[in-house]
Order: sequence, then structure tokens, then C-alpha cells
Amino acid sequence: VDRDLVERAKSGDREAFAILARTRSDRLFGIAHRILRDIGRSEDAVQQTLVIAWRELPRLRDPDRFEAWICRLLVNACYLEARRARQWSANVRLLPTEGPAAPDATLSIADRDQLERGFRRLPPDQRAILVLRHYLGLEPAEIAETLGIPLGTARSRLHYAHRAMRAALEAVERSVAVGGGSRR
Amino acid sequence: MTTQRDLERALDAFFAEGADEMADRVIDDALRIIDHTHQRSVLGVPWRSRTMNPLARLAAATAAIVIVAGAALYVLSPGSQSVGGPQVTPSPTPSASPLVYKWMGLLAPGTYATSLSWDPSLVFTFTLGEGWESRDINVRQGGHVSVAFYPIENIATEPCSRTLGDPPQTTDDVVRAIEMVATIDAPARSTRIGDRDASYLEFTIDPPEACSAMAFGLIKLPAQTCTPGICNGLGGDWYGLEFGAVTHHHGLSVMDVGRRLVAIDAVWTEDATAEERAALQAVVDSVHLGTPLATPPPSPGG
Repeated sequence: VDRDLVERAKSGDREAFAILARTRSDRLFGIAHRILRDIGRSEDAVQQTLVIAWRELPRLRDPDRFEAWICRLLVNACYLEARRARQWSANVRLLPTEGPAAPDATLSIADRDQLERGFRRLPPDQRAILVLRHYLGLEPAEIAETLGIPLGTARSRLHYAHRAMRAALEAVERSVAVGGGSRR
Repeated sequence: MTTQRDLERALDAFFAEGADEMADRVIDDALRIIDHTHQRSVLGVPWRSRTMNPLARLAAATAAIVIVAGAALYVLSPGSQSVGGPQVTPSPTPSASPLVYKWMGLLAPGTYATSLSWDPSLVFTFTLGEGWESRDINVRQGGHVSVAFYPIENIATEPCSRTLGDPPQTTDDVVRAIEMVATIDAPARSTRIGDRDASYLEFTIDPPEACSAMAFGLIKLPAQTCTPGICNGLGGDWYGLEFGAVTHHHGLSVMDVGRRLVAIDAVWTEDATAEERAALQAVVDSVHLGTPLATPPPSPGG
């Protein structure tokens, strides 16, 4: 964390905050997009996060905690967006120019599809915890600290989220076994 | 049986995929809002605290009661026009001169003339009622209806792999290509958009087995020529379509505009109300391609 930038932004320096925002935005967007699975809503969540972060920054006591703090704001913004998403929206989107990512050697299309379906069925708090664990690589204690929840709660949510995702993967295995096909 | 290690590895790979770059305009918009936003006083409750003291809780509850009571009095007062949820204005009133199109925000009712993120020779003029917001290449209202404006470069023959066929030359070519990959709800017919002839068809996309909506690229768009900061970093030369739990209907009008094929795509979800559909249709009915006509000279070598 650039402690000086955070201190300056805390005391009302908009330029310092702009630098903080620009240097964190891609990471925040990456997290939001993995939780929400929608570019427009992820952009909205990041935008809300930045505005709230600016407004609330004077209340952040320890500038070294800025990263965890803004991540918590983002996750909360994602929860709000996810609730809105239940209404669904007439979305169109511009897709990334480079086209679909090259398939990862460790995931078949069927696995990816089932994981996607399984993930979309999870409640937002379990989605967030999986993203913090597997996208950011945080340990349960760090997740608990970031989200401001007890360690036991973090472990429990992670357990249930893993269980749901395991069931999604095993559904693919069962269908392959029934269909007699071969799996990678 | 999936071991914990297999699961962890699969999830690591799953989350490694996805968008990692945000468009600059999103931050620019946030910073513009921040320019007019005051920071909170440090005298308030610090971030670390998760509980409110009883006095603060009592004050908040009192304030909430006052606000709710005030809102109820306002809503129930005889002169109020805000009863019954969000207002929908199916027949927007055009304003005398076009309003300035703002990016990624709520748009005031009125008439807009904009190239969106396309080159300036393509000018879309349309009239919006209450509650419409701007996006990159579309406007949307209330979450259930949207109108997108874009030139078409090509149509994918296999959208999951984004395999392209021969570029369409006519509106009929576009219609035929869409018919090959979409479920047609209303066959193509002739219509008018502003003072131009157009082909109109309605379709939906059945979720394919081979890919998610994020990978599904149906329509190839030309390169955007955005104002700096508008679509930088977005990439975006494919038009993605939603499908899945809620059906998205497309009413696509395709026009031959000079040397370009241009689409007006009216999108509505299956749960859109009749009023929302009417508001959507009103926008489509108001569209015309203004001058200068989109007939750019051929570029060198093309």
C-alpha cells in the first residue's frame, strides 16, 4: 500500500485518490466480474465502491489496511448488485476483442460449464469467498479479516461453497460415466 | 470422486479466466462523481466498529421513521404523481435541440443525436422518455428493455468459437445468417426506421452446450472510434447476447446505410411489462440516422 497516497486521499486530496483508484481498478474489476459474471454490473459495482471509498476514507484508521478495506467495500457492492441482478436486465455487451480465452488444459468444456452453472447457483456470500480464495489466493484467516467476519464463518462458507462446486463437477463425471464417453 | 486437490485445481483454473481490465471511462465517471462528493467527517463511527451505540441507534430509528412518514405523506398527497412505482413514458416528447449524450449515466428525457462509440459519420438520433440510462452502444431502461445501435461487420456461423462466414453484403445476408444460428420468433419483414428501409426480425438465443454467454459472439462489429476515455481498454468488437435463466428477445432492424449495414437492436426480457415494451417501441419509432449520412469514402486498400 502506498501509505502516503492513502494519507493524502484521507485528508481530501482528490488527485491522490485518483491515482489510488486507477491503480486498483483492474484488480477490483477482476474480483467483481468473477463474483457477478457480468461486465456491466461489475463496472457498476466498482464505480459504487470508488465513490463510497472516497466518501468514507477519512474513517479508515490504519492506511495499511486500505487494500482489505476497499476489497470489503467492493464485496458489499457486489452483494447489492447481485440482489439487483435477480430482476435481470436487458443486457447487451461488448465482448473482449481477443475472443474466447484459450481453453485451460486443466478444465474441459463440460467441467467449465458445470462450474459456471454451479457457481451461478451459489448465494453471493459463497461466491465472494470462493473468489477471494481461488482468484486472490487468500487464506481463510485473510478472507475473514477482509470480509470482517469470524474465521469460523469464513471456513464454514468456504466449506459449503466447495461442496456445491464439487457436486457440480461430479455431475459431469456421472453424466460422462452414464454416456460412456471418455474424460480427458 | 473429485478429490479436494482436484477441486482446488479446477477452481483455480476456473477463476483464472475472466475479464481483468476495466474501461477507463468507468473510473473517469467515478472520479467525476467524486469531484462533487464530500468526504464524511471523521467524527462519525470509524470503519472498524461493527455496532452502533444505543443513542445512535435510537437517533437513526427516529430519523428513519420521520423519512418514511414524510415519504408516505408525499406519495399519498392528492397532487403527487409518483404513485405506482417508476414512471414510464411511452411517448417521449422531443426537445427542440438534441441533448448531449452522457456516458454511463441517467439520461434526461429528450432527443439525443450521438455517434455512441462509432465514428462520427454515423449519427443516431433518438428520443427518450423518463428513466433511460446510457451504456457504450445502447440505452436501457429499468433493467428489462434496451436499444443497441451498431454497424455490422460480419455474423458468426459458430458463435461459441466465433467462426466467421463471408461478410454480409445486404440486409438479406444478415437476416439469413441470423436465421442460421438463432431461434426465429418472427420472420423477417420490411419496415422503416426513420426515412430508411429496413429488414426486421425477432429472435432469441437458445443457450448452447458449448459455451457460456461470455464467450458467445454472434455479431462482429467494426473497430470503435471512441472519444478517448470512453471505450479504451474495453476492446469490444463483438456483440454479446444474454441467454440463460431469463429469455432475452431481440427485435433487430437492419438497414443498408451507404456502404454499411447498421442495426438497431431492441432487446426485452421475458418479464418486461407492456408499459416497458411500449417505451421501448417508442424509442425505436423515434430513431433516425441523421446527417451526415453514413457514407464514408472507401479507405485506401479497402
